[in-house]
Amino acid sequence: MLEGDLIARLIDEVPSVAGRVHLTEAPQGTDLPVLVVVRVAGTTPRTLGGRALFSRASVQIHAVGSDVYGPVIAAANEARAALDGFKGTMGSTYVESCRCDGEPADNSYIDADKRFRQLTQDFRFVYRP
Amino acid sequence: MSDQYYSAAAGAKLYMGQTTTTPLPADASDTFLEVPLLGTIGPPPHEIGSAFFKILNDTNKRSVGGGKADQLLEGDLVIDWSEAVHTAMYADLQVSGGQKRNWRIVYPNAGGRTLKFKAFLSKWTEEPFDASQDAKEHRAAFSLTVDGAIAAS
Repeated sequence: MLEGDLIARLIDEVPSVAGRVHLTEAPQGTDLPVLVVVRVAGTTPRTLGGRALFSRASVQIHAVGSDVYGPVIAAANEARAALDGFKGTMGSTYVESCRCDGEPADNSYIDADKRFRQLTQDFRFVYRP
Repeated sequence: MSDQYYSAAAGAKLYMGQTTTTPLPADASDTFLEVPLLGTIGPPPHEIGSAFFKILNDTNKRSVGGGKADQLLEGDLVIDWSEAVHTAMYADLQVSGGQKRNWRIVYPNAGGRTLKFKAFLSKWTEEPFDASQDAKEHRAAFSLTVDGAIAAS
């Protein structure tokens, strides 16, 4: 399944988060920074004569941290390096193409001395389920 | 009144006869393989030539029908070069004068309406490779030129 294979790859390729890669939401009280993977859209896999064609998925990866910007941008850049332009086998999923749609979008929240850092990147996968 | 209409979106199949001898065997004596990964298939059109004329000062024209117009069948498929039928279709286009075969189209309706005809592949056009596009299956458009009558059952 794409989500599971994607999380496994990010755990391997993003040392900045030390294995803290979560699907949909990060657990309460987790150390930071973390990556949160959210599948925002996708196509229903189509078949021709019973044979599956490529499926498509849009995934957002949020690099989340606090206070210091450096570790969060490092995690976001590592995630992009691991995925943008990737083609090949990712766990049990064959990925025909993966591309990042743009530079990380900064959704940081700053309130006086409290800072919540969030950088969001959109990735588009074409894969064989 | 029964509701026997059917979908034009999926379920139709194209079968290619395996024999290429001259003359071709009868349809019932040939062996057929399904064309895999068929995307679209357009059944051959039927059109009769028409001519109009008037006798002297007739108000209304008269007409006479002629023979059938050319029958060309168009389709496309997702290419898989590991499929023997796809490689055979490509090879047919390299035969000078075309390679005639028996062909069948089976409709997705309840009774499996079937068109049987002789034809040769007259076009095989693969999509261009475009690095600016999102990844997608590589498709080829093809045409079959019908030779002779089409039997429907």
